[in-house]
Parts: sequence; C-alpha cells; structure tokens
Amino acid sequence: MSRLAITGSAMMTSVGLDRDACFDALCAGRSGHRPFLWFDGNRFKVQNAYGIADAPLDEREPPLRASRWLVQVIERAVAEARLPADVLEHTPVIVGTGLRELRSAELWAREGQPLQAFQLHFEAAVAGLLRGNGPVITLSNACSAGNFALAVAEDMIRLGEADAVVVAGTDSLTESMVGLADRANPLKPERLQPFDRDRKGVILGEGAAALVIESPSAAAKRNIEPIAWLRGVGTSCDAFHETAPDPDGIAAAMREAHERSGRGPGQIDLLLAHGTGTALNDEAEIAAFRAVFGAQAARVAISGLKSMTGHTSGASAVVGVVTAIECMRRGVVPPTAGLEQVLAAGSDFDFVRGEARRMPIGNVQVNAFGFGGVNAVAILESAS
Amino acid sequence: MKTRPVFITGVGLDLPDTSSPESLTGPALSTSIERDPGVLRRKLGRGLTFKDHATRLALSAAHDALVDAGLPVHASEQRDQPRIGVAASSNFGNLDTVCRVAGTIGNGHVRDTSPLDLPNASSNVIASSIALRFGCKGLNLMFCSGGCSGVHAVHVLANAIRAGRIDRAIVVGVEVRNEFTSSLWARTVRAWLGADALVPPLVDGAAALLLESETSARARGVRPYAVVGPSASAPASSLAATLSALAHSVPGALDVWFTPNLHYPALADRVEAAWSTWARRPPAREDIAAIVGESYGVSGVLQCLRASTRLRASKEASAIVTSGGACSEATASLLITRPPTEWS
Repeated sequence: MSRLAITGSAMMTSVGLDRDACFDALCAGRSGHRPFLWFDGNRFKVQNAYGIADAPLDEREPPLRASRWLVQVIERAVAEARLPADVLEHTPVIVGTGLRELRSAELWAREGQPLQAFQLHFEAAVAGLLRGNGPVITLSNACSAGNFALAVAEDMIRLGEADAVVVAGTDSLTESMVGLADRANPLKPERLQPFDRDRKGVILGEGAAALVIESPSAAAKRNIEPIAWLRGVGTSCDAFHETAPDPDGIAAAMREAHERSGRGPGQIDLLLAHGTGTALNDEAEIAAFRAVFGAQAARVAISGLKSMTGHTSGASAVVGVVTAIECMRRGVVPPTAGLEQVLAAGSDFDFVRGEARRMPIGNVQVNAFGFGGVNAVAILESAS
Repeated sequence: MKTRPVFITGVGLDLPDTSSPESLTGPALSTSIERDPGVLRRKLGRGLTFKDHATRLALSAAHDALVDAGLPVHASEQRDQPRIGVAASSNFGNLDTVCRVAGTIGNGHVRDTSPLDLPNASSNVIASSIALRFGCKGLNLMFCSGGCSGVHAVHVLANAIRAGRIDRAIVVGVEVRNEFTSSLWARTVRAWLGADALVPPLVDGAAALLLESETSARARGVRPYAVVGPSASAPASSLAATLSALAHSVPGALDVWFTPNLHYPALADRVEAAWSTWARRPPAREDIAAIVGESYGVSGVLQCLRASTRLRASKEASAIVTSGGACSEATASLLITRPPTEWS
C-alpha cells in the first residue's frame, strides 16, 4: 500500500498556542489544567478544565472560538506546505469536531449572543482563507473525529479525486457536555490520569490542529519534502453500546489500520494512546492493544497526551498526529504526565512516564475512539 | 486506483404523514410535526425510550431503506462481512438537547440535569444509534456541513465503498423542527434576505439510502435504482460551470436537475442563470423544497432518493442533484445515473 505525504502541520492547545510551544510543553510534562475560564464553578462539581485562555476573562466569553482556532491552524499548516493558490482553490477541507460550534449555540440560546445556522459548521469560517471550490466537510464524530477526517482524506487522495486535502480538528468546551460528563461521573477528578490505577475520569480540554495531506507525486512535483508519511487509517464501529467502548471493535480498527498501512505490530515503535482516564476506556484500550499486538505489545513505547491537554474531543486525534510527527522528527516522546501507578492490566507495558524519552521512531500508531463506539486508528511513518 | 461502481439499492423515508417516495411528486406535504408513536413502535420495537426525536426519525428511514434493499434489519442477523458503514447528515438533530441542558445548568446545577441526555449531547448520536440498532460495524460518520451535508454524506460513503473500506452503507439525512431550530433558521434567513423575508418551514423528517458495491449487489442479485457518480462543490455564483463539468461526464444530454431550494429569490436567480446557460438541451427541473419545505441537511439524501425513484420509473438516464446555496452557503452537486442495461 502506498503512503501519502504530509507536508504541513499546526496545533494549539491549553499547553501552547503554536506547534513548537505545544510540543515543548508536552515534553516538559506541563499540564494545561486550570480553573474554568468562563463557566460558573458554582454550577458544576468539577472546577477545572484544560481551556485555552484566548480572550480577556473579565469580559463575556466570545462566540466562535473553535472557528477562530481552526482558521489559525489551517493557515499555518497551509503555509508550511506552501500550497499554491491554484491548488488551494480545489483543496477539500475535512474538519473533525466533537462539539462543532455548539458552544456558540449555547451562548445564543442563553445570552442572546449572535449566531447564524451556517456558523454551526465551519465552511464560512475557512471560506475566506481558501476562497475555494473544494468542499468544506464538517464531521461531528465525537472524540475520534480527527482520525475519521484523516480516513476521508485518505480515500479522496487514493481515488485520485484530490491532489491535496486539508485535515483539521477543532473543539471548544460546551457547558452541556462538560456538565453532563460531570453529572454522569460519581467521582470528582482533579486531573486526567490515563492508565493510572487511581484515575477518576475524563476532563475536557480545548484545542485545534491541522494537517496538509498530499499524493506523493503532487508533493514531489512541487519539490516539497514531506514532514512525515501517512501510511493509512483503519476505522470501525463497535455497534455495541451507546457510550461504553468494546475491545473487539477497537481491535478491529487497529487491524484494519495495520492492513491498510502495510505496517504491523512488529513495526510500530510508539503508540499515542486514546487514554481518556476513564475506567472503561483505558481498560478496553489496553485489552484491544494486547489482543492485536500480542508478544510485540511490551516493546512498544506508549504515551497519553490527554494527561496534559485534557480531552480535546474531536481535535484530539489531529493533535495526536501532529505530535506524532514531531516525535519522529525530533526523536523524543512526551511522557504521560501524572501516571504514577500503572493499571494492573497494563503493568507489563512500556509507558513513557516521569520525563520525555529520547528514542528513534520509525512508525507511530495514533488511537482515537469516540462515543457510540466509533473507532479510528492512524499509522504514520517517519520521513527520514 | 480503479474506481468501482456504487449503486443505490434501497430507499426509505419518514416525513409527516408519509413514508412513501411517491408522495414526493406533490402536492406539498403536511408541515405537522405530530406522528403516531405506534407506527414507529411497530416498526422498530423496543429500545426507543431515551432516543431523541431526530434519532427516531433516522432509525425509521434507515429501517425502510434496509427493507427496500431486501436486507435484514436485526443486528443479530448481520455478520462481520460484508462490512456495513453508516453516515448520518444533520445540523439540528441535537440542538434542542444542547440548548436545554445548558439552560438547566445555567439556572441551577449539573445535578439538575439527567445523565440520560449524555448520549444525545454528542452530535454523532444519530449515526452511532443506527449502527447499534442494525449491527453496522464499518466506518461510521456524522456530517454536519449545513445544506451540503447530505451530498457530502452520499459522496464520502460512496468513496469509502470505492476504496474498499466498506461494502454497503446506510446514508440518512434528518432534521427536526422545534423552538430552537425554527428560531435559528428564521433569524439566519432574515439576516440573509431581509427582516420581511418569508421563511419556509423546516422539514421534520428523515430520508435514507442504501448504497452498495457492485460485488455486493451482484452477489445478492438485487436490482439497483441508480449509480452514484462524481460530486462537485462551488459557490452558488459559479453553479453553471460546476453543472456543466458534471454533465459532461454523461454521454447524452442531462435529463433532470434537482435544484437548490427555489423558495429564496436570491438562490432562484442563481438557478435560473445557470439553467439559461445550459449548452445543450436543458434538463427538466425538480425542486423538492416545494413539496417538503426547507430540508437543509436532509436535502442531498432526499434528492438522491427522488432521483433514484424517478430514474427507475422513467426512461431518463441521468440526474444531477444540487443542495445548499441558501444563506450564502456553498452548493454541492452529485451525478446520479441509470444502472447499465444488464442490471435493469
């Protein structure tokens, strides 16, 4: 199976407002965990999240924050890829998001802030940037939206429909999702602790990230060196339970990713896990990983970025892919911050913890699973 | 990569007072949002109690598309092969849940909310509920791209079949009418066309298609309605160029064009302009919105459904469906053609 060129990337999260700041903070094990920025803490059990402080906190929360971040990261990724205007004009944009602009809908319904129906999705936000005829497709695929967007882009390029596709993810916090997750969790997590025996559940975060994916021949024709290769994306749906994950469905997505990418457990050096710090997710992810990787499982380095960024929902997979690319370029893996006692089911696995680890990395697997049992797994290869 | 044909082999509909595709030929349908809950219960049985209205409508239409295609509707009857994917297209499906829950928290505390709302707070509840209900373990996507969303869903799932990711797909479009969605749509139309603009009622309903690879259709000996062709996007101002590029990929003249919603004068002008510049014999036109009202995220799926039944019932060979274009959104078009004669 041929590989696709990744020629541009960008990200912003609660730990850093650009890619380098973000990656450096992740390697330093720094967390973006802070008190709610605009939500009224008196109305929640949890008091913290991993928010992006991008506007004055003594003023009203501005609408359309997720749209603004999206424009910023796409602008940077496209600039790095040096996509010329005539290509950009026909470039599809696939946006993965868990919560779209539903925060703006909440601000409209509650405070009468301005909103139009078409601002719930991202076409108008990026239209000014790309001025194009390519479709702007908003995929609201819960917490695995980013990797599903990557799968859609992969098909478009492999079928010869587009030479280049912009894949992005963006999510801002909604009171409804933060509140319902808070309501459903009998515990009160102080921080997000993936794969820890004492993990208490998920805490949401904000973030955005973007990638430019191209056919290898189109990138070569433009004399652009890829920053990494996309080998393939595997997808599945558990069709098992509304919110609880199923190891069999997760394993199916991993196997499809390996089959499509021509890269198996023996070739994967690093797993950027989905790792949401919930009792069910982390157990299911570990079980599926063991089932698929077998004897190879113990030699794969594993890290969980959500320990520092929080769960950035639909953006998290693209944040994971952009981070994976930096790991391969720089030969360093951020730690899973705050992982003190590894859960029993994964005690024989090689979690990167304490501090960042220097290591050569040829191939990375990025996991993403979402509400409704929607799973998407991406396999990336180093450009060097 | 070799492109494999993708067929439409089943259609399903849940609109006020009708589930019959024939009703789309007119007159205008009821704009009621009342439904007999017994109909849905008889069709789908138990397990609907905590599903939101949009999910119920989508399940109903998906059920009918599976039955129409001659496929099983019980999850236990599905096997891992062939792989079935799901796409749902909706912009307003869970808007009421989100706004209502935010209101509850804003006026009180998270403990006043119901954890049963949690699945419905995630916009993809429609697509994942279809998968859960009918046992579909392939790619599962929720499209929320405005008026183009339905065309995006059909096109992307057809691509997933062409790319060998899945063998079949259920594609559903659904929108719901309630105080939140009606209010948001009305203010959007008035911001676009002026404060005195006449706002068409939002559809409260769902449409579904069953897409299938040639191999899968052949193995079942099923007779397809139509073939899913290429897609193109463009601002409403460059509709003519887009349509002519798509129409060029059919051998004869294009037979029928399913237009964007002609209710809006600004969009109707664009449609007239594109139609008047047609190089060869201009196609017949059909405006589904005249029958169902504003169907937004449903429209692309609904137009494909109508194109499927129209091509089967006539000698016509090709249709283009064009969605979107309202409120300055882009348009998305898709070519639908009659299956090769060996299939009819």
